[in-house]
Amino acid sequence: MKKLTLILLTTALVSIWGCKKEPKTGNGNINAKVTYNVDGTALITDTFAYTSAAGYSYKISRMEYFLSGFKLKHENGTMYSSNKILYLNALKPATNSFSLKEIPSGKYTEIYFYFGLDSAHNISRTLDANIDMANMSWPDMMGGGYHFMKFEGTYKNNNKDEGFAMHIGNNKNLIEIHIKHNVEITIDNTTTLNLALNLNEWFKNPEVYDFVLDGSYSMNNPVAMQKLKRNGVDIFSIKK
Amino acid sequence: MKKTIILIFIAMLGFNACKKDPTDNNTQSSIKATPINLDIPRFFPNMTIPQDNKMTKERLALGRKLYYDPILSNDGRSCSQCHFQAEGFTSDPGFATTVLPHVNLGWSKNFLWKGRTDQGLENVMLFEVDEFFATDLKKINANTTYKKEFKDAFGVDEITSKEIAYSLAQFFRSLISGNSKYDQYMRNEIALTQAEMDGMEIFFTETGDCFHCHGSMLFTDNDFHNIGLDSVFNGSKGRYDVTGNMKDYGTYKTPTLRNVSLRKRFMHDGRFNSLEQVIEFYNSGVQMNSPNIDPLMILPQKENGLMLTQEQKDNLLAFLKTLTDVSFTTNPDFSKP
Repeated sequence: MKKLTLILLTTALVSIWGCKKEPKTGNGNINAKVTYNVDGTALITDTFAYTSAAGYSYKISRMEYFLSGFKLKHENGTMYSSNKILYLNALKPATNSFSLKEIPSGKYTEIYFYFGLDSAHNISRTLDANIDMANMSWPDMMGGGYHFMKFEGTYKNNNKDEGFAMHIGNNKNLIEIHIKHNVEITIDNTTTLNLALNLNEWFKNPEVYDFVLDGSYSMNNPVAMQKLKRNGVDIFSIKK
Repeated sequence: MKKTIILIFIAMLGFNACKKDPTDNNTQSSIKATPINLDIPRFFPNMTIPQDNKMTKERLALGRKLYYDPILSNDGRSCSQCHFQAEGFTSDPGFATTVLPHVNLGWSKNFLWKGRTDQGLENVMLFEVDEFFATDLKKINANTTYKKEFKDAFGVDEITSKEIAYSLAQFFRSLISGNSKYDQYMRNEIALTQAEMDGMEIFFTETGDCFHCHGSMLFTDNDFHNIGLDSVFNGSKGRYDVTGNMKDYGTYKTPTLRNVSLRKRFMHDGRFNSLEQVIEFYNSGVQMNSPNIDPLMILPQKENGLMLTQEQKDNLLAFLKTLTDVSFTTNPDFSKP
């Protein structure tokens, strides 16, 4: 009887304890949020509120893009990687928050990610998790894959309204973002990371982008896309 | 012995604690729930189906029956009165507003020309039941056949707008068109003619720049645009009428181009009677000074329209005709039961 009691007691304890999740020792998470500004002014759409470095007054009506390939560099040199593919839309707040999970605890000093999709994911009709992602498709006859970005608006050219569409795609135009920033991940805790995207950076630094001279429609303009790529490297900063 | 029983009870409690609570409405014991899977065409995006309205044979059958039944209204109207399967589930009843087709709406997030509802198919169906048809619930509850079918499908004794909307949403979700000549070409099953290929090139490049709004396999971006139909808006001001937001001034939902060649009227107000007229509008008729016009319509290189030759326009038309899906317009699963 004693033996049976012992077995049943053990079974009961194992059963109850078995339901409990194992503590994820050593890992923490990041909750990230992207906000948008134009040289420090919060984004408002469809108002001629901004001026590009080339001197054009402009308004913004669309800003959609992908982020991928997130990496964090630990102070000991090791790297945390996430395979997340993120679709973000400046006009849809719900798309501008995301999380990075199961990050080994420790101090990280650098953040890396791609603005766009790395070549392994930039393949037509493979990423259609929802209609928003599907809408980012880049036609096969123009190289295939997806738009990395659709940034659209209207600018004043000698008081005449003209449209601009800064569209980036194709693997060679993938933008590598690198931010030096200290992030401490502690066990079972979530760290907040606020990223700020300055839309006017597309049109300056290191090169002034001129809608008339460089082209107001970048999609079939490899030179324009390369210029945007160079300007896009520092569009993000950490918001304290 | 008593101790043993207590210990066995604790052990069972331990095992049972691991089980999840049933939360799915479809699995209530009084419901006849025969799960079904929708056949999603290759290359289409994932379709999100609400947890509380998973596809079942019983709910789908009810939705199909209601679609064709004027019991939905008090004046003889039914969905099928304006949405003919042979015309891709639209028609030309002569209304001031064109009838949007009921096709591939399972992927849609915005509904109706001005996006009056944007919370999913169940929500727009609730609008149709409560407001558009003003369905008489007493009449449906008095129908013994419906009473039994709703009891089977939803486990309810009293039929409400919700169950009607949910069953209709299931039928709408099943109305999938993805087997046109273009789809077959994409699956490497057939070839397109040279004219169709040339038209596709115009469609999917900046020559025609159709794909930015009518892209992906759905041939709609599910968004709202002012394409420059008018320079002044008298009366309807598009989505602005719903939101009051200037960014929506003069914008209307992008209709899908699937089965577009079967339609008799085009644009939200049916101002064009042929696809040739529609193409000519984009070619030379865009009102560039329309307030809040979409930036893609006023790119500097397009300030004089697309400037397509007659041959290019013919080829574009030929491509648009490849989006007709006869297996959809003749599918017996979608016809009146």
